[in-house]
Amino acid sequence: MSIDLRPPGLSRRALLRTAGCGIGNLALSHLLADTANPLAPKAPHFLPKVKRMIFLFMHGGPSSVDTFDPKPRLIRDHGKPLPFEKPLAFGMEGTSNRLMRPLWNFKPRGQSGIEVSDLFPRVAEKADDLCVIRSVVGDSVAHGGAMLQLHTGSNTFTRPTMGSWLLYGLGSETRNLPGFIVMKPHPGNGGAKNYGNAFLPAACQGTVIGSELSKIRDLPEPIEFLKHRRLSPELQRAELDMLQNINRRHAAERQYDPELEGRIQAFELAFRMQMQAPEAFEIEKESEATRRAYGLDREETFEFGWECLMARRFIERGVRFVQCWHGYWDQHSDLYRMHGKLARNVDQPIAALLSDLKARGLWDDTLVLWGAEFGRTPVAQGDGRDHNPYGFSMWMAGGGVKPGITYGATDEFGYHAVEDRMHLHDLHATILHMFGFDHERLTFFHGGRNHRLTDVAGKVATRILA
Amino acid sequence: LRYPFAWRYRDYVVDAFNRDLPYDQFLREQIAGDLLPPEPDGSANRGGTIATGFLSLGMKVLAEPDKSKLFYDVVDEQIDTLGRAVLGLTVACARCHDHKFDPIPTQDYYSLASIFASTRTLDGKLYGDGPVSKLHWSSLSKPEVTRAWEGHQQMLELAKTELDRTRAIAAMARARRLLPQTIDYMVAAWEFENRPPSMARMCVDEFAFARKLDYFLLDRWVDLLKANDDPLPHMQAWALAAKAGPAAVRKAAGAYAAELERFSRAWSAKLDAWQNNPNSMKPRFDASESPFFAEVVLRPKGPFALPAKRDDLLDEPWRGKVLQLSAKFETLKKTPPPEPAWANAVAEGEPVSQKILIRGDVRRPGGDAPKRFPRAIAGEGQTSIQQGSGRRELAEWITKPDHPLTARVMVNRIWQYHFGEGLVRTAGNFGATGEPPTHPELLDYLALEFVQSGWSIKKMHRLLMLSNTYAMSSATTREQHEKDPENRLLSHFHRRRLDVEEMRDGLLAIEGSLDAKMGGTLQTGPAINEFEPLVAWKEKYDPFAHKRRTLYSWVRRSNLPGLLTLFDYGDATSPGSGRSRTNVAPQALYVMNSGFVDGQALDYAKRLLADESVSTKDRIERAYMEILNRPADPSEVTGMAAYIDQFATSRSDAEAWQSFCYILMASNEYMYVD
Repeated sequence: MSIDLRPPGLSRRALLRTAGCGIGNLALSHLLADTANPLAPKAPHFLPKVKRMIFLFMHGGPSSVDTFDPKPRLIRDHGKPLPFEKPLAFGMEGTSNRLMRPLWNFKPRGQSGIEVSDLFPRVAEKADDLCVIRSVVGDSVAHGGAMLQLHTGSNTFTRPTMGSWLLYGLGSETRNLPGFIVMKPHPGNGGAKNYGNAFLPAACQGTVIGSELSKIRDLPEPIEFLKHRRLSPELQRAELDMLQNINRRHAAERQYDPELEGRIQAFELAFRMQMQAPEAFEIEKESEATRRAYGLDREETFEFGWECLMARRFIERGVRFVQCWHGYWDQHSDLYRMHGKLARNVDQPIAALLSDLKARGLWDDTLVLWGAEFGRTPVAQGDGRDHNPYGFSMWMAGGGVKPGITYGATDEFGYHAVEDRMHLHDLHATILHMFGFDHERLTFFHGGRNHRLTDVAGKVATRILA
Repeated sequence: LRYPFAWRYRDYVVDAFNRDLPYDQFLREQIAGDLLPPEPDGSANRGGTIATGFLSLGMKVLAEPDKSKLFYDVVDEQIDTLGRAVLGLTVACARCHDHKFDPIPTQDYYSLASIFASTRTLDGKLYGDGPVSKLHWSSLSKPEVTRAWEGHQQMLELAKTELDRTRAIAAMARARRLLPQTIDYMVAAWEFENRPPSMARMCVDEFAFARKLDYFLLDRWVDLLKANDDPLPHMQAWALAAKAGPAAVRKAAGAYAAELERFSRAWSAKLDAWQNNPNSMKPRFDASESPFFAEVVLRPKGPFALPAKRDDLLDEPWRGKVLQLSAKFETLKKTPPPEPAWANAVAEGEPVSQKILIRGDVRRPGGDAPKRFPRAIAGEGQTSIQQGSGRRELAEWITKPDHPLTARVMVNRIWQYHFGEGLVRTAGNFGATGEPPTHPELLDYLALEFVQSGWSIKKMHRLLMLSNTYAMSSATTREQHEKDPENRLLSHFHRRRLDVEEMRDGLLAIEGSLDAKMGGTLQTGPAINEFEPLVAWKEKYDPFAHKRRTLYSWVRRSNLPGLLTLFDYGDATSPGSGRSRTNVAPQALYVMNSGFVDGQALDYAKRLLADESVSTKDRIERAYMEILNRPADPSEVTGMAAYIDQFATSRSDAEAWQSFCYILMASNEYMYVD
C-alpha cells in the first residue's frame, strides 16, 4: 500500500508509522512546540500559599444568624421591631420589621470554641479547621447582581470570574482535564456569566458539569464531547492520524503560520484528554468507606456528595479551580423546613471532603471556601428571611488560612458588618494573595484600560493568612 | 425572555446591509429612527422604530432593586456601546471621573447621559410582583389596534383584580363560618391519624361524613397535622400533644383555635376595609406575627385556602358572585383583540436636566451637564439642546460628513473584516490607549472615499476587494515572517480561520441541507419564565437542531450554546471589537465527538455513494472539489482510496466513506481560507 500524503521531510520510517490505519502518531506531537497556549503554567508574583481552590457555593444565600453568626440578642428580642432603619431589602410579600430568633441552637465547638449552630452538626465538628469570616459585605440585594459581584467583582458588567482570573494568572497544571470546573450551576441569575471568561482568553472559561436543575445520575456524559459515538478509540486514532497527515502536509506548504500548528496540536491534546479524563470520573474505584463517608450511599446526600468527591478527585489531578453549586437556599418563607433539608444535603459531604483533603495530603495546597452571594436578614419575612448583603458569614479552610479562628463581626442583631468588614473586593484580594498575586498587578488590558478582579478596590485581610 | 423581538432588529440590520442603506442613514435610524415621519396608516415609522433596537438591546440588569442605579446603568450601556461601536471612543470611562487618557471630562459624559436619560428605554412597569423592570416595547401597528389591545389588557387586569379580591373575601367568609369548629376538626384529624387498625381502610370522606364535618376541610387538616419528625417551630406544641394522647390533643387544639380566632378577627377587618374601598391595596398579613394563622388560612395548601377550581365550596351569596366574575374573566381572556406587532425599541422620555453625578453616585448630584456633544470634538461654542431628548441632534452630529471619527471608524471595521486586522488594530478604541493606525494616509483616504461615495458600504467592499493588497498571496517568506511577524505592513494576505457561523453553515451547505431562508424568528411564543423553557430551548435552538443559518439561531445571551462559546463567538452581552481566535482542545473535542461534523460527513457520504456507477476516484475528486474547493491531486486520490479500503476492513463501506468525508471537513484546509 502506498500513500503519498506525507509532509515533506518525513522519513520513510515515520511514514510507515503514520500510514493508513497504523496507530502511533504520537512521536510527532512531541516535536510540536507549545504555541501560544494561554494555559501554559506561569509563576505568580510571589511565593503562593495555595495552588488550588474548591468553592462550595450555597446558591440562594443561607442565613448567617442561623448558622455561623450567633446572636443571643435575637433570642431576647424575638418578635420586637428592629431598633434601627431597615436597609434596602429585596422581598415584597410578607416583609416585616420584626426580629426573628435563630431557629437552631448555637454551641461552642472543639478546642477553638467557635460557635456553630446545630444546622451543620458534622461541619461543626471541624470548627478547629475553619476560619469563619463573619463580616462579608456585598453591594447587591438581588441574586443576579450579588452573584455577579461574588464571582467577578462587578455587580453590573460582564467581567471575568475568579476561576478565570486564576487560570489566566497561573495556567493549568493538567492537560487532561479543564483547569476550571463548575459542577451543577444554575442557568439563571446571570447564568454562564458566573463562570465565564468575559474578555480573558476563551480557554479560561469554566467547564460545566450538569446543572442545578438535573440529577447527576441523569447526565449522559459528565463532560460533553469526551467520547466518540461510534468508533473505538483505536479506529478513531487511525482516523485522527489521517487527518493529521493531511493537516501537516497542508501546514508544510504554508510556512510560518503558528495557528495551523496550533490547531494540529489542539487535536492531539484533545485526543489525550478524551483518553485520560474519563478516569477522573470513575468514582466506583473509590473504596466503599470513602463513598459512604461522602454520603454516596444515601439519596439525601448523593448529589452533593458526588460533587465533593469529584472536587477532591479533580484537584488531585491538577485542576486549578473547582466550584460545587448547591441550591436553592433562598428561603423567603418556610426557612426552618427548607434550610433543614438543604443542610442535610451538604453537611456530611462537606465534613467528609475536609477530612479527605487532610488524609490525602492535599490540605496545605488547597483553599476551601464556603459561602453564598449574601446572607439573610435577622428580621422575619413571614416564616422566612429576606436577603442581607450588609454583613454575612463565609468560611475558609485548608492551606493559606489560619485554622480555628473567627474574623470580623456584625452588629448585635447580625445585620451590618461592623468590625473588620470584608467587602467582596477584599475577599477577592485576599484569595489572590493566597495564590501569590498582588491583586493590583494581576491585570488584563481591555476596552481602553487595565482591568482587575478587584476593580479599583480590595484590601488583603492579612490577619487570616496562615 | 426579555427581548422577544430582538429578531426584528437583526433582520433590519441584515436588510440594511443587503440594500446598501447609506451608513449615515443607518446610524441616524438606529439612534433616532423612532422620530422619522410615521407610516401613511398612522403607525410609527416601522423601520426606524425597529432600528432603535440598537439602544434597547444592550445588557441590562433588570432585576436590580435599586431602580435609580438601574436607570443610569442603562444610560451607561448606551453611551458605552455607541461610543465604542460608532466613534471608537471609550466614553464610558468618564462616568465616575474625567477620562484618564482621552480628553473626555465627566461633564461631557453626563451631557451625553442627559440625552439618553431623556429617552424611554424602560417602561416603569415591573414583571409580575417581583423587582424585575420591564423594557419598553413600541407598537408597530396602527394606533387603533394598539389602543384596542391596551384597553383590553386593562380590562383583563381589572377583572382579575376584582375576581381575586372577591375570591379572597369569599374564602374568608367561609373560613369564619367554619373556624368556630376548629377544635372539632383538629381533634378529628388526630383521631383519623390514630384510628384503630380495624378502620385502617377508611378514607377521610367517610370519616368526615360520620362526624358531619366538611370533608375537604378535614382532608386539609389531616394533611397539615400529620406526624412529622421535624415539626416547624410553631407546630412543636401540637407534636408533643399528639404523642401524649386525647386529652392533651383537645387542650392543644383549644390553644391553637384561640390563636386563629384572635387573628381572624383582625384579618377580617382588614379585608372588609379592602372590600369597601376597592381601590385600596390588597392587605398584607405579617406571617411572623402568627405563622400558624398564615399556614392555616392563607397558604395555598392550608385548610381554609380554596383552589380556584373549588369555587363551588364557597358560601352563598359569595359563591354566585365569584362564579360570575370568574366567567366574565375567562370570557374576556378568550376574546382578545388582535395583538399589535411589537419591537424592542426606545421612545422619547421625560426630558431630564441632567446633573453631573459625583463619582457616578446617583445620590450625589453635582453641577449641570447641558445636552451637548463631547467638546474635544464638537468644540466649546455649542448651544445646548433644549427640545426633546436630543437624540435627533446627536444622530445628525455623528453623521456629519466632516465628523473626524465616524467614517474612519467604519472603514477601519470594513478593512478589518477583509484583512483580519484593522488599519487601527483596536477597532473600538481610537483613543490614546488604542493603537495608532499602521497606514494613516490610507485610513484618511478611505474615510474620504467612503463619505464621498454617499456612505456606501458596498462600494467600500468593492474598493478594498479590487485592490492589489487584497489580491496578494497568503504565502510568506522567512524574511517577511522574521521582520514583521504580525504582518502590520501587509506584505502578504492574512490566512483567515472561518468564524463559527461560517464553519457550521458551510458544513450544512456542502452536505446540502442548509436552509437559506432569510429573516423571521425561530421563537414560538414569548417565554417569560426564565428557567422552564431552558431544557426545551437547548433542544430546540441548539444550532444542532435546525438547518437555518447560524445567524438565525435564537441566542440566549447568558447561556450560549456550546458551539458558540467554544468557537470564539465571544461575550454576547457587551460590544466587542472583533472575535478572538483561539485553538484549544475543547474545540477539537467538539469537532471529533459532538456528532455534528460526523453527522454532516455521514449525510454527505450518502450522497457520494448514491450513484453506484461512480468510481472511487471520481467520488474522491468530487469531495475535494465540494469540500475544499480545489481538485485533488493524484497522490491524494490514491492515498485516500487506500485509507478508505483499509478502514472498510473493520467497518462498512459507508462508514469508511463517512470517515473520509469527516477528515476533509475537520481539516485545517477547510477551516482556513488562504
